[in-house]
Amino acid sequence: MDRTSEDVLVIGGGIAGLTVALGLAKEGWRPWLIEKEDRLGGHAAAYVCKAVEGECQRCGACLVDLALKEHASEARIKTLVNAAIERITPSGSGHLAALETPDGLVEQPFRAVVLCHGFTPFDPRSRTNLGYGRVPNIMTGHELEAMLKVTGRVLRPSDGAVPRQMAFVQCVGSRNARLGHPYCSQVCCGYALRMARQIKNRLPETDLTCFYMDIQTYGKDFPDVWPGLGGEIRFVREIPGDYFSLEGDRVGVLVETGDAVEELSFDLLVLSVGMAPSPDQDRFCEWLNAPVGAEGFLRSDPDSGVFVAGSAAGPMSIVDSIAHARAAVRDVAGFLEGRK
Amino acid sequence: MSQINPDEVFDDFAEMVAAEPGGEGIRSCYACGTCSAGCPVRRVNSAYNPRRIIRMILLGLKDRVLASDFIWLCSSCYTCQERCPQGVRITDLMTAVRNIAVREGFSPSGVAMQADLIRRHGRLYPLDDFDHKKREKAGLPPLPSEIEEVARLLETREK
Amino acid sequence: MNRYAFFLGCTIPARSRNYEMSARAVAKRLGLEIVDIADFGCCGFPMKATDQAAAGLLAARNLALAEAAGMDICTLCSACTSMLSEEAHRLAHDAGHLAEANRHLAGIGRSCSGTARVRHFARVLIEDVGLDRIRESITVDLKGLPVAIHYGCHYLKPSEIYPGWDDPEAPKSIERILEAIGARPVAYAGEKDCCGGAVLVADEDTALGMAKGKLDHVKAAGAKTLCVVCPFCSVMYDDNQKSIENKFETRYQIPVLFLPQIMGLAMGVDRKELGLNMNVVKTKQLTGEILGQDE
Repeated sequence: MDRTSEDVLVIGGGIAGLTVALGLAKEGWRPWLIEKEDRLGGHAAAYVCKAVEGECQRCGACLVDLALKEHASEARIKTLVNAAIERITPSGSGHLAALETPDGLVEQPFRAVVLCHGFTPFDPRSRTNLGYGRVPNIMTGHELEAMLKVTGRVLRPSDGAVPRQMAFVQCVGSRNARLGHPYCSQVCCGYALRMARQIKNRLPETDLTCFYMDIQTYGKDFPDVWPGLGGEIRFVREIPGDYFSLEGDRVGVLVETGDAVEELSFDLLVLSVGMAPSPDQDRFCEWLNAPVGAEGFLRSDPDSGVFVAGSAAGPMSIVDSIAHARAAVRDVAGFLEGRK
Repeated sequence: MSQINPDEVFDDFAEMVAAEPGGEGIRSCYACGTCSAGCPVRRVNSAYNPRRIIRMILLGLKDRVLASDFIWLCSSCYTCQERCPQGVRITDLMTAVRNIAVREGFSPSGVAMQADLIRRHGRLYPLDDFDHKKREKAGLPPLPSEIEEVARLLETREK
Repeated sequence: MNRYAFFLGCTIPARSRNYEMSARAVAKRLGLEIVDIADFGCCGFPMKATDQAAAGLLAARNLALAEAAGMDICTLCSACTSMLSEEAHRLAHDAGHLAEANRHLAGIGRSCSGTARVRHFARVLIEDVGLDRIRESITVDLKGLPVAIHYGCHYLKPSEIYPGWDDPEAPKSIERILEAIGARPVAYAGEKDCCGGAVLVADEDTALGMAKGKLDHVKAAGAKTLCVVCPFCSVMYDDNQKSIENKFETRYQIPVLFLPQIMGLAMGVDRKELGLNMNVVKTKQLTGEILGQDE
């Protein structure tokens, strides 16, 4: 068969979408990579390298840059940025997609569609007791990533001062049956502790506290992080109940430690937010009948030529997204070749 | 810290609480501490600790819980229930445990007295002539001293 | 405007007539028509600890009465508000529960259809009367009187029975009313703390300890008065203020006023009609300052 006439629509230009498109291109298929934003790389492109004094912490952030670099020299991917999908309808043995591009509407049939639309970070305003948006100097893990990546420093949003006491609160929006996210997001302990380690290395005078329930040591790379933390961070196996503003825009929390309820205060508090299904998925579900899994993320429907790769399928790290995407390439290839 | 004697453990206690309206979600608790940290009663009286009480129920410590003073200390402020990430209805659960305690014969005298007043008079504070006079003097409309229909309604429950 | 079935509950007619008097005075001045239903009985709240099903029936009976009279219920006590709202919510969303309630209500010749609506007086003021009308009724300048607001618990929670209402973690409703009448709400630590009223019957020491915490914070914030919207809270902070002072060897002398009492002062209603002589912590100095009189 002539692989170059087998068009595959890859929706989403984040790490999973890039990996799928690159994998399909290398095997000679014809991937179209469509991205709604004006740049590729998705959420992970905004994550900071978490190396400590040149020692890699295996966070995977640089793998996104690698994928972007590879993509730039891969001519066989038809890439559309700033583009939207107006609709997808079933057509013959595949799908007909109407794509809104800066050059106008393009209608194109595809034999297979790979959904790589990613996730949305949990918005802590859904849990009003956390004080996000109301209490100064409470930020999300995502915001901390961006701050470290863009400025190289961690500073209090309210006054730009260097924080002397910092805290991370884990499981924000994850393991939360009440809001429909009963799962663990797998990445938050990893990103929080890696960032904590880097921050402690740069600001040795800053005290770091981590409020957690369980430290989720996902991934074979976690042991690289863990031993470095001993003694550097105060681990408190409690989740604070109350978050409020104190003088000097400090953050106060109430937490039960041992036999007492303590009021602890910090210059800066980071909410380690989890991963939630992207609102984009509703349209894709409707158009493609993509099955929704137990945790609200999407599943592949291989018989229909609909595949899901990366965090669109559930919370996962950058490294896992790449592996998941490579496996999806195998499934797509098998489908296109008529193999079961 | 205290020891648990195997004889104290009633395997079905958690189910008993889970079967009461309000107690359904008790097994979702993963003891994160959010409830106890925000509890306004616990701050003043450490004998009241919602996280610990839930753990005691899950461990089956029926007598220790039902005979306790502490289950009567909840002020039903709902702070814990609003914040629990697992949607455990802690306040409602505490009410359910109290109901079980009353059925088993444990009830602080003040609580029992309130229930009795309401059953008999339809009001928590029956209004006497003194109250009627005060109302009249203040230009307030008269109120019946008792609402006997309430007693009749509660009797229908016995059927 | 609508007519409302005025639900007083048990505590107000016996212990907090000042709340009732001031609410009636404010309602009259704002054209809010409140109707007394003589057969209203206990909402059921104090019965919950003993038998929550029985408590629910007491609430359902009151809802049936309001339905029969064709009116929404307007409550003054926050505990009554939550008890009646919880029951109304269940009756409206659980057909089985509605049928069971009616089975019992039939025994006293009553029935309900799950359509009864319950709102606290303050909520009716904001949603039905409106802040503009309240502002227009002001005749006395409160000159930014610093007021600490105690929202209390049942006025806001459990939040799912009050859809579309105030945020329990950052409430604003009473603040808006007080600002509209020329007072200045004062922030203080522990704003969300419970008064401990429901613990009083079980453990007086714990309850007083809880109320003390709030009074300490209010004093530290320099408020001239503490505003409450529930008679339980008033019992804790007003009736028991002296006991707390004695027990903990502190001194507050902070007048505790019900929201309609503060509103009434701004509307030019006299002390007597607002029942201000019935407040336990003396309010003469406060009203003297507001009205610019020497008392």
